[in-house]
Order: sequence, then C-alpha cells, then structure tokens
Amino acid sequence: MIEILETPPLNAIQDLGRLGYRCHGVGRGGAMDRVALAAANALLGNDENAAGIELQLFPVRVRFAGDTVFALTGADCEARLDGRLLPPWWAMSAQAGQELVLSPPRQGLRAYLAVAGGIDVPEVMGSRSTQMRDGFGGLDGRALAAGDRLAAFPAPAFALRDGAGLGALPASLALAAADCPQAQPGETVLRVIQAAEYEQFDAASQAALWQTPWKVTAQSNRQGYRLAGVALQRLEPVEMRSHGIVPGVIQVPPSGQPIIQLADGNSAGGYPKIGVVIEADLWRIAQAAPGSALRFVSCTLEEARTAERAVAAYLGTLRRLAGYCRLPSLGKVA
Amino acid sequence: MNTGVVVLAEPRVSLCGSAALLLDAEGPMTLPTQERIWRLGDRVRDWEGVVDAQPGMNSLLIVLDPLEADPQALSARLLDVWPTIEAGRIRGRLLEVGVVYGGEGGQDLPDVAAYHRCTPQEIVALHAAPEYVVFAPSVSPGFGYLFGLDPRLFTPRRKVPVMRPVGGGVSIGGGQSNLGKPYVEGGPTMNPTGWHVIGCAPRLPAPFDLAKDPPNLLSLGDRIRFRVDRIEA
Amino acid sequence: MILEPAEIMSLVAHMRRVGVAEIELEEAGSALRVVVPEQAIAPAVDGTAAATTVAAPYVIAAEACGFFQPGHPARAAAPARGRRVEAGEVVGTIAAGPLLRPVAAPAAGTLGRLLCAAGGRVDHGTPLFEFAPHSPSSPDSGKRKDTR
Repeated sequence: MIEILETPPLNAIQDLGRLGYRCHGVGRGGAMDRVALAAANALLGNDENAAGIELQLFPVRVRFAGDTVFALTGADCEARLDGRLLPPWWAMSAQAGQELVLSPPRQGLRAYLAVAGGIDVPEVMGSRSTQMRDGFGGLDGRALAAGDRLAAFPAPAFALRDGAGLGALPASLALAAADCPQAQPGETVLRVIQAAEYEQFDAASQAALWQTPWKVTAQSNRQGYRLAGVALQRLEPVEMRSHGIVPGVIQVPPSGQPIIQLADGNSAGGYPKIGVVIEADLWRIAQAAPGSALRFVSCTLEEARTAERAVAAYLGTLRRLAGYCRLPSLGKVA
Repeated sequence: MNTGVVVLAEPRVSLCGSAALLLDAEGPMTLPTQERIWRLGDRVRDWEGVVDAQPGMNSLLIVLDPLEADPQALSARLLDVWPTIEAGRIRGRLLEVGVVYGGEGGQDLPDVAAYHRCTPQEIVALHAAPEYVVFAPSVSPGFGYLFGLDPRLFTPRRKVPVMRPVGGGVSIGGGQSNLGKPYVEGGPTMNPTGWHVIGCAPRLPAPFDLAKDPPNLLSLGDRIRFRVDRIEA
Repeated sequence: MILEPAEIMSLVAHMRRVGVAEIELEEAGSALRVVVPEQAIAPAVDGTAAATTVAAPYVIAAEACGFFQPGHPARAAAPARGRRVEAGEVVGTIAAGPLLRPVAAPAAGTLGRLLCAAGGRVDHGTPLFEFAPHSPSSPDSGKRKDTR
C-alpha cells in the first residue's frame, strides 16, 4: 500500500497502454517512457505490463503503508528514502512507514515508481493506464492527489539479496542513440522513418528536417510535442482525409511547425505526416524537456528493427539477472 | 488554395513508422469502398504480427508488433488481399440529432456561406439533407468520422487553429463533417480546431459510456441525420 | 548458449557465496561446466592493497563480479577520498550486463583511497575502497553486515 502525501497535478497510474481498442477511437496511452517503466517492473520481477506511477511534476512525497520492494526509474530526481539518497534507476526494500521524497529531476523529465506486484487498479479495456482526457482507467480516470491510497497486487514474497538494493543501467547509457555528428551535447537524437507525405515537402524542408535542431516548445505534453524550427512547406498543399495515426507520427500543420503525436495523442488525424519516430526511440522524447532540442536522423526499417531488438534484449537480460538478486522470503511482500 | 483531395488510381500501402502500415484505398471515398475497409480491418486483426486495425476515411491503419511483424511481407499481403474483399451493406441504426445552426454555437456559418458565395440558409439545407454514415473512429472516443457531406460544401481546414466551444459542435473540415461530443462536467470548455463550426447540437446522448457493452453509442455503419431545429443569425 | 557471460559471472558469485566449487548445466544439446578457482585478490590501483593507513584501516570489497564504478554510471563521480558516508549508503556499483549491484558502506564512516579503477573488472572480494568507520565498534575488516 502506498499513500500519496504530496503531489502536483498530472502524476498518474500508467502501464504499457491499450491495444485493440482503436475501433472505439481509443489510442494506446500508457507510459510515455515505456522502457523506464518496463525496467522498473523487470527489477521487481513484476508482470512486464504491471501498472506503476508516472511522475511528471515534482516534488512528490509518498509513504509506504506496508513492507514492500519498490523501483524508481526514468528521470534522475534525487530520491530519498527516509532521508537516504537513492541512486537513479534503483530498486530497494521499504518498510512500513518509510517516506520516499522525489525532487525536480536534474536530468530527464518523467520518473516511474513501481512496487512489487504492480499497482492494483481495475483494468479498463485491457489496461490500467489513466486516460485523463476521457476520464477512465488508472485511479477513477484521474491524476493522483494527496490522500490517495494505492494497493499493490500480491507478489510472490521475496527479499533482495543486497540490503542496499539493486539497479538497472539507465536506458540512456544502455541503449545507443543514432549517430548524429551535428547534434550538440544535450540534444535528443531520434531515428525517424519517412512517412507517406514526405515526398510532398519541398527539398529545403526535407533537408531542414534532418539537418536542423527542433526546439521542444512549452506546448508539449503527453498528447504531443509541438516543435519550433524551420517552417516545413509542401510543394502543393492538398487536403488529407482523416486517417489513423500512431504515437511518434510527426505531423506538419499548415503553420509548418511540426507536432509529434505521443502516448495520449489523437488516434486519428488529417495533417500530412513527414516522418514517424521509431517505437524504440519514443522513450527518449518522454525525457526531453521543453526548451531542449531534438534531432532527427533518417532510419531504415531494418535499423528500426535492430533498435527495437536492442530494447527487448536490454529489458530481457535485466529481468533475468535481476531474478538472481531476489531471494524467496517467508514474509509476505505487498 | 487547394480544391480537393488526392484520389489514388491504385491502392497504396505506406509505412507509418516501424510498427504500423497505412493502406490507402484507390478511388474516391464511397460507402462500398468503406465497407470493404471495415471488412479488411476485421480480417487482418487475426494475422500474425498485427495487434490492431483502425479504419480511417478511405484508409486502414494496421498496427503491428514491432518485434514480431514483418512490415514488408504484410504490405504485400494487404495489397494481395484487398482486391478480393467485397463490399457488404451494413445498414446500421439511425440517430437523429437536432441542430441549432449559426449563432453562438455555430459561429463560423457566415464565413462558410461567404466562402461558398451563398446564404447561410443554403448551407444549412445542403448540410442537413443527407444521411451521414459513421465511417471511422475519430481522434478519441465519440461519434466517429462521418461520411455524406455534399461535395459542394468542401471547405478547406484553417491554416491556424482557432478556439471553439466544446459540446456538440457540428463542423465542416475539408470534405468531411463532424459531430462533437457533448460537454463533460469539469472538462475543458474550449478546444482548438481547424474545422469550421456551423452549428451546435445542444441535447446529445453520451457517445461513449464504459458501463455499456460496447461502450460506443454508434458503431461503424450507423447513421446520423441532422434535423434543423433553428437557424440563428 | 545456455547463459550469457554476465549470467555466468553472477552464477560464479553465487557459487562462491554458498561454497560450491563446480557445477554443470545441460540444456537442449548444449552444456556448460563452471569451475570456480581459488579466489584471487586484485592489487590496488595505486600500488599495494595491503598498505593501509591508520586513518583507513578497513577495505570495502566487491561482493559481486562485473565492472566497478565508483558512485553511479549515470552521475559524474565525486572524489571518494575523504567523503563521509552513512551506513548502507551506495558508494559504487558493479555492473553485470544491464544489472547494477550495489557497493555499500558497511557502517558510517569515511572513504579512503579508491583501490580499483573506474570501469575495472572486479571479482568477489576485490578491494574497492579504503574505509575508516566512525565508531570503533564497527565492522570486522570491512565485511558488510547483511541488513536482511
């Protein structure tokens, strides 16, 4: 059981999202940084789709109402358990009554808190993710607030081999970003596959897509990131019919300033698509703060597949090795 | 300014990133073509590597498992199967919706009339004449994308989105018309849109209710008729 | 291959812990035999591991095998020497593949010299830090009390 003592708005329960409900206009939703949430669950031996808490705004304070094991991944937000500093991407035992305090991140944007067993909220359309726009999933379809008490599913009882916990090599170190010689330090490099309307853009716009930085504006959130940069123009603007879209689609509205649709993005749209950020790099966007810059690197389907396999291998190996660091215990966890 | 939508001579499958394909049907948007798209959507859901399918307007988005699926093989298979899919009439239920055209809830009606060089009354008559068919799920759970707008009412979307009230807005964008969800207590009251809002349906049933199975009030193939309750200046 | 190298390293550590010298695994036509040799103590980076001073009489040693990092791989390493640490504080990590095992302070105290290079390969028992506990009743030769 976790009790929320203090939280700004917009922090909510998420899992890996909804699949199979697009015929109702329901998109994937779920964690923005799926790799961080999956890594937290891997450290704990949870179901890979177990629900955790996505933390987007800080400071956050929670109290563990019972003995449990938790994992904290994603943004490095100087977490302290009863005052003791935790390393980033770390799992550790907590005793009943201990308090976990998270400060605004020094690196990254979104942190993920998972507990052994996963957060127990009802599944809605195959997922425990909070869909705030339509008010369903998660905890009553809303963001968390002080006073909320969250239960965890019962987990097989275990203790960590090391009292000091165990960690995961953060995804930013474990998973190589694409090569981009012109990228400045701190810029987020994303692999992009050309989309159906790429050829409709003029040569200067095509070149600008790959060669110039794209600033993440303040109008960036779980629905999408609005970018600022060179205005992208089509040779001959034609109306598009409304069509299904996926997280990662880079739409270009008539202003020429691109929008990347993300987890809570629309499931359909009518703007031309110049490219699509590959699935394996979407987590990088989740950690790119407003004011920072993105770089796009052209990518083939084969390269995308290789990147996707690297993510799966990272998470799979982490899960296996973390298993050696858990010992069965007589006590009941969660 | 442009005057229309690209009409393909041949069906086309394009990559939508590493884990989705978009099939664009050949020819203009028609009910028989859309019926084939719905049927193809039902068919591909069972294919290996496919995790979801979503009809669009004259198109089908196929969402793939990024690790298991072979997008190239699936593209070829889609193009093979598509011509064999036959249209089949799905005559869905009819929902009649009372609309107040113009006025505060339909503030773009005068501009749309001016664009088409006719009177607001003529726009309303053209808009309320046909029976619209729910062709595809929309951007979020709701009434879906509707087919049936008189081609004479084709109105390009705005270059710069504007803020318009949330709650039963009846709008035109390009060659499509749309019915917005009713206002939800506590939700946002305004919404950015590139569409032209020409009316408002003040009394609407909830289009999406999780207590029901299926949660959507209207399914693909269901129909909507707009009844002119009033035209305001 | 039944196990990846990182997994074998973890297995070896576990065998050491429970005192098993040899193990054989067979799976789907492949076999793996792991023999744990006599434990070797790696020399200190800056010379002699044994050259401890009065100020830092104990050694924090590795309890896992893998690649050692003082501090944490995602954070710029602060100089260890002279740093005051709390009991149980994570002062370094040992990476086996993507998994990080903690190197924790056995008691409240002060870190002395770093005895292993950052990124260096370590084994069970490899000395990592010199350590001076604050209280004289503190641990036996830097061996961490398991908090479990």
